[in-house]
Amino acid sequence: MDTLYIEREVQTHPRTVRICERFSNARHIVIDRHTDVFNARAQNFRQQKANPSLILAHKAGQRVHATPPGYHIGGEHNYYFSHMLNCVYDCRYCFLQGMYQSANYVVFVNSEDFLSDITHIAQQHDSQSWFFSGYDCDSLALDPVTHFVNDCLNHFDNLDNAWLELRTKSTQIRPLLKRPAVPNVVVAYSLSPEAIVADEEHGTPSLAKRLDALLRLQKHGWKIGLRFDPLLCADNFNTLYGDMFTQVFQTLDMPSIHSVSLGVFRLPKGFHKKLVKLYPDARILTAPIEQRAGMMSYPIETENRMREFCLTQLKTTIRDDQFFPCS
Amino acid sequence: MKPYASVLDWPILFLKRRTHLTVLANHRFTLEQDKLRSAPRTCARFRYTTRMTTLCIMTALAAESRVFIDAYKLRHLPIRGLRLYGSEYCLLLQTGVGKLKAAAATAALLQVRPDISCIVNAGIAGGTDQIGSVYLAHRVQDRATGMSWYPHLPLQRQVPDLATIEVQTMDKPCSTYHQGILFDMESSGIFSAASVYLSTDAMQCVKVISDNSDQSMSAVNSANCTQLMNHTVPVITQLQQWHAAKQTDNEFLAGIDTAVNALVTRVHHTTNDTLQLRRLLQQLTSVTKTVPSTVDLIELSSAKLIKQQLQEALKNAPLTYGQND
Ligand code: SF4
Repeated sequence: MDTLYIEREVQTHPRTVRICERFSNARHIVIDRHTDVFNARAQNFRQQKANPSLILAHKAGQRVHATPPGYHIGGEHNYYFSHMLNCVYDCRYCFLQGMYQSANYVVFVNSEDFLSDITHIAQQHDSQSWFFSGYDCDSLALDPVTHFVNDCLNHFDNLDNAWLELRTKSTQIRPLLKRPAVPNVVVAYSLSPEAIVADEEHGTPSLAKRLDALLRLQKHGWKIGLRFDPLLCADNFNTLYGDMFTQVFQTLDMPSIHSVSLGVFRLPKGFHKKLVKLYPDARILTAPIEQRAGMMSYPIETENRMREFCLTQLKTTIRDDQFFPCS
Repeated sequence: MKPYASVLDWPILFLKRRTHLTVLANHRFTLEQDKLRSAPRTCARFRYTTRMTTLCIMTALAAESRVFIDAYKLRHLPIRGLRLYGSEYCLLLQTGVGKLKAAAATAALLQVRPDISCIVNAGIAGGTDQIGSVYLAHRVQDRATGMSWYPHLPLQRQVPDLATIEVQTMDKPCSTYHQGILFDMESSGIFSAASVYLSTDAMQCVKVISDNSDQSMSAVNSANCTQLMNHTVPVITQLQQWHAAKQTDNEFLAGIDTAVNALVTRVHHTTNDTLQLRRLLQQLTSVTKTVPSTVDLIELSSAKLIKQQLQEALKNAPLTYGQND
């Protein structure tokens, strides 16, 4: 990190102090509100992605939100939260590029407020609630800086009726391996064929490295989830995804996988438009695409073909109760 | 048939310079980049129809401009109502004093010169530090309205040993100095106008301290102002290099522009047709890694036929991962 923006309100927060010490050589700029920098107009996401700054802020207002319909893995009450905005990786299909003006990272240092909100919401329901982390960021990738995961795991370890999903592509699993597995936590990895990782998921660990991390977590007793989302259209789709499934099935103990989900590439229309403007040279945007219910997605036949191929492959190794389609 | 303007056409273009420049400007015509680069004088003449990047330094006073005119060998460029100087890769706009004049001049220039891809406001300012200290603004604030801009800063290694600071733009000269704040009279006007055209990574502000509580503004004259501005020249050069290095997609876009312009000057295209044509060419280029040849397309009689042919080509182009990379 070369530049840190620090909200005046959190200047003396212990987490802010620790992060500032870690980046003592960076520029430290005090600001009034993170939105002044993060939501400012006339920002260029693509240019900022080359050297993003870190914004340390306080998250006020609603911190935990209900998930969109279809975003669940079998739970009745589903919520997501983002202790951080934006991601260290640069996947070309990422919806964050369309959602935010800025590629700077925002870290909310008041994680204790997130955790108490989670407890409060969980207590409102008699049945189990699910909390998804990694909706507006990668859950683990910046954890060496934020140290959020450990606090979060300690918290869920003491919560009876709540589940946590940590969604990631990162191999920063040291905090998870350093402690016993927490039974109500699922570590879910997004997986794509190696060639797609190389071409479209810039800066992310390779498929092999992700599988290695998954295997280590599985052996350590963590519940793990596999997220084949987004499936990307390609002429060699069957070969690409077929090879990937073989690799996954050969590496992991499939019957003990907690959950598997898959979803085809789709973006809200406005986000897609912004993506075309930001990356007119992106290969992912050359596939035939059409608008359906405000979303840009592949033609329905293409989608069905892709989904059916993957389902056929998955059904050879997983049970129905392990599978959750994404809508 | 060959494209409308190739290197062979240049003598004809020069003969009919006026007409053609108008045509070129209207159609945002682009010539081939490598040919232009090898002909600097022609390049300068046509550069505002190309995607080559131009940095524009914005100053308020003649005494602030002088060092840059000398350092970058700038010549006066006649544009009505603007005091503009330029060379092949750099422009300097002298806006006059005060944020209103600065905003008006900035807006007028950016409207007529879409090739300007970055502006740097350079000038003197009041502060608490030593006279001659140079700073890069991390925040520009208009004191009267409270509006702020946060330029996206270059990495520290790209501008070594350069501290950043907040710059506040005042309506009147100010003699009360505050730690950590510089006062000037133009930067918020420039940022306000420029943010309509440019993104925050392409707007920077470099200030040198000219007055502080020990030495008042009245001691600043034309000669020592020019001398102080000398300290900013290396920083402007570093910013110019940083800006040039981050223009990653220019080659791609320039190739597409050339093809689009070759087609729209020969075959009638509505604005919507042109947009669709540009997008199809972009898509085809990113799959095939080469800009499609326009030679055959030019022979087609309508925008619709060109579009159909490109759509067909895109449908047949292989979209594979891991095979043709
Ligand atoms: S890892 Fe997820 S959040 Fe990060 S860039 Fe990729 S898609 Fe976006």
